[in-house]
Amino acid sequence: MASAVFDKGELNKQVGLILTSETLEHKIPMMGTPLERIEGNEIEFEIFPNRPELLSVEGFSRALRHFLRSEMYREYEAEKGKIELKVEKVPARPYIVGAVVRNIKIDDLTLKSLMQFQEKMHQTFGRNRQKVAIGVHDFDKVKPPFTYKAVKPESVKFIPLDFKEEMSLREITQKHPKGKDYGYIVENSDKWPLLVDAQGAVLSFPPIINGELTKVTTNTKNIFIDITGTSETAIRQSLNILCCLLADRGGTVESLRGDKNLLQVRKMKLDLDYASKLLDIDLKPAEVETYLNRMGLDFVDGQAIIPPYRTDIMHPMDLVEEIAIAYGYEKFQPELPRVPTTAIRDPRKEIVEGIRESMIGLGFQEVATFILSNKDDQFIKMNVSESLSAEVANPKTELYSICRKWLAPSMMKTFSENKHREFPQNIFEIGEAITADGKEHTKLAVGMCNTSVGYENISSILNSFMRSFGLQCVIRPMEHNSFLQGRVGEISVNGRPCGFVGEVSPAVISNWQVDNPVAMFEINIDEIFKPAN
Amino acid sequence: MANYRLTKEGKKYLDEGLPEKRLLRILPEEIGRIQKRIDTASIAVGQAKRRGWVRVDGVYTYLTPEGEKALNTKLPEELALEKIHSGDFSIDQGTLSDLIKRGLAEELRDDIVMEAQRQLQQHVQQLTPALIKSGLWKDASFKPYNVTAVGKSVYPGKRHLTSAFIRRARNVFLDLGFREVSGPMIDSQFWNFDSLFVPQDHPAREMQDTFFMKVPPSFELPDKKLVDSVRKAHEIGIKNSTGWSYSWDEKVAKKSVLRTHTTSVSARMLSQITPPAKIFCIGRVFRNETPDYKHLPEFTQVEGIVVDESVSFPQLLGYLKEFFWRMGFDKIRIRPGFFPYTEMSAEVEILYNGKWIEMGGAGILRPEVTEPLGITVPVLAWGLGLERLIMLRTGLSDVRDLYYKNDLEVLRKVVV
Repeated sequence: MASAVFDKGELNKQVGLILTSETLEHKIPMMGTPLERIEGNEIEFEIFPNRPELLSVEGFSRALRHFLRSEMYREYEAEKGKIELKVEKVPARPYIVGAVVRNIKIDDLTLKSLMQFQEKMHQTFGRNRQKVAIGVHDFDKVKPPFTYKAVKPESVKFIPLDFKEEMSLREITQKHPKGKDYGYIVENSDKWPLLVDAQGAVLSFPPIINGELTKVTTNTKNIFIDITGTSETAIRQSLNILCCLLADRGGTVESLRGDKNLLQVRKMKLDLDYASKLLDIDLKPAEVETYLNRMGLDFVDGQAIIPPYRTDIMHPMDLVEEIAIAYGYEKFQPELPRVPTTAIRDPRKEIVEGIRESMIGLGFQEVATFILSNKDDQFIKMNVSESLSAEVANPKTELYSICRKWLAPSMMKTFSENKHREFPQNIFEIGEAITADGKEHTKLAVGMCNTSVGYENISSILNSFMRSFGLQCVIRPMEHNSFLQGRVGEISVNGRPCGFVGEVSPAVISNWQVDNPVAMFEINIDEIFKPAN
Repeated sequence: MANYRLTKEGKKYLDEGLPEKRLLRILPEEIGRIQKRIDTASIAVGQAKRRGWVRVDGVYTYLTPEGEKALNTKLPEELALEKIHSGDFSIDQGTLSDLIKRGLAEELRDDIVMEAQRQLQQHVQQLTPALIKSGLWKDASFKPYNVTAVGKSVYPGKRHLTSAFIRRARNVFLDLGFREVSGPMIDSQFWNFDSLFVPQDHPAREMQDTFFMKVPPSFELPDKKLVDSVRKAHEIGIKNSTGWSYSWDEKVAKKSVLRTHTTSVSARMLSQITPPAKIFCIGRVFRNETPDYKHLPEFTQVEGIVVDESVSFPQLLGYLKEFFWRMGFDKIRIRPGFFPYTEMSAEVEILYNGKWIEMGGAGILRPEVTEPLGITVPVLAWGLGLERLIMLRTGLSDVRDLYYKNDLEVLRKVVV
């Protein structure tokens, strides 16, 4: 979940409103940005992944100006510039776009905002810099034309940002913190990306680090932006967002020579009948214009105009959502459902309900445990040998690393967690176990724990259970290391083995640190109960 | 000395008279008619015959001279019945054993009587069979109990909290005419993500922390036509849409995960059905999160979709309101939200103790999801977390009490 933290004063200033707590807590979330917390002067909002432009205070305030103050649709334009960016073949990182922003006043707040925005973009939209990496440079420190090329890692040295000495690209990935974090992105190629000016001065080593040379400070007046990545669409979108942000700060955006796409606006046709039907309100063009304006879009001649910083509008359905948000989700009245269909029960669920009722009727308390388990619980503590199970590739904790194959361990676990509760403890669980092939098996496990409990108790319950379904079960002696030898049997119904019943072995009982004898049975429901189709 | 008492039958004869005596009073009479007039006709005739009181001639039964004498005397048996009833046991053994043989009197064993008399001497606590049988309960006085005191706890067989709520939620949707379905817990990324238009490289894919599976590592994809339409939607979009503009990788789609939502089941269903349809699924979903008081690695999601020409956003609100109202919450609201597969997305909240609490998400499925799956009408969809609802209804504050611990004291005491 991504979030943005803004300074209350800065936000008020940018929006041009004093944002009351009523507005912060109730109105702004209805725009699509839930409030996470307010702490002193800091306000944190959750930003959904499809609105990266809201990660900056400029983008967020812009949205609020439209939404809260009905500010009119604003056009962003790029002047046609002559600065050239030569792009050579860089297999490690093929795509690059750039732009120049002139006459911008950079104060401490703007600088801070810019840095934070870059970092957030890198983490989320940029997929940890792999997909998109943004570089911002003091334009006046270098001489165009710029060249983007691939070089051998040892062949070039420059002073990286915040350092004092020159390092080669290779050294940067070994010694510089950013190099250590992100070096993996380029390390597999034999030539690494580099952005230089006409005199060979290094602007940056994308996506790792900029040079100290072009560091942006409060003295910077003109900015050069470079954005590299693995997706042309994504880097273009990022460039648009950043340019709009700087334009809002007073800068003039200038496209590079030959770039016709910078700050291009998109148009999308919107069928008002389609929108009206989906929202069940009667939409007129003038209303739609008002609604879309509130969301920062425009509506002209049946077409929505989408500003360049919006990356989320992909289908007319997205426009319908914008209208609904501007109209106000809280204004929609719930309507009675109108689709006439009749209930259809899943027969397997009916069977499970019947089994549950039967066990409740026998006086047993149902328990519910996790399907995720671990080798210790499933095998070691139960005194059985390990067998292949469905296994998680990326467990966060060993506790939840495999899927359970049987429910008997859940019975023991429950008893071990209830040592100080009243006895007798008669429990059951009916649920899924998953085998290594990914198939699910519904099982019933029944456990009895008491100062005195034995085979005759559990087998009497097993027989009652079977009788209540009109089933005949046959028990044959079996070997099972979880149970006391000579006190465990294999259950068969209609000639098919489907479970086991017995007195749990004291070794297993001790493994679970339970103090009392335990008797249990477990049966495979799928084997015995087949839904009548 | 032994004690005796009349049986039920004995008391009846005491009141109505011995059957053989009643017979004597109505003679002479046709045999057939006798049965109509005396209910114990066979006993009456049997006894009368045995004692020589009646003579049968053809169809009729006649009184004999001995019978006539008996009619006008008090029989020893009649006297005995009266005596026993009043507690006088001075009766000759022969008559007594006759009565006993006929089941009209019974002997009270000494021990029962003694036991009853002994119990009587104390203040009677417990009513016993001895007191009942001996009739001595009439003389007993029973010690009053403190009826306001609570008896010992008895724990009934009971559903687990979660399955009780699952049943309730299930019934809400069945009552609304929905079809119940289920799907696999371990599924391919194709169904869990790709068919839902979640791009393979977008941060949205990690929005929910996912369990990726080592065993089984992958599943085969469904039929080629379906896979191709999903691929196209991702790469270039569908009519009127731009898609995600990247290169879709089949290998990634095959990889298996523990489903992060039951929406994978909805996707499967959409590829199989034709509208109109209302479908729901209540099942376990998995998130790779460390458990704490609010989060579990596994929990239950209530999923529903409505597929029809006529559906609209206000109707989505209608279903949500109906569900929550039937589950005990009558104030709901929705906020704009975000899910990669819905547009109209909403986060659903209910009012509880003055605060708005998030319960899940809902929306209209994106055409990029539904069209490749073969559906051209709008689809309403929602996925709600059941555990949070359970906690609000039962007042539990730690979600781990639901599966993690299975504390029998909690399970036994909580009102479901």
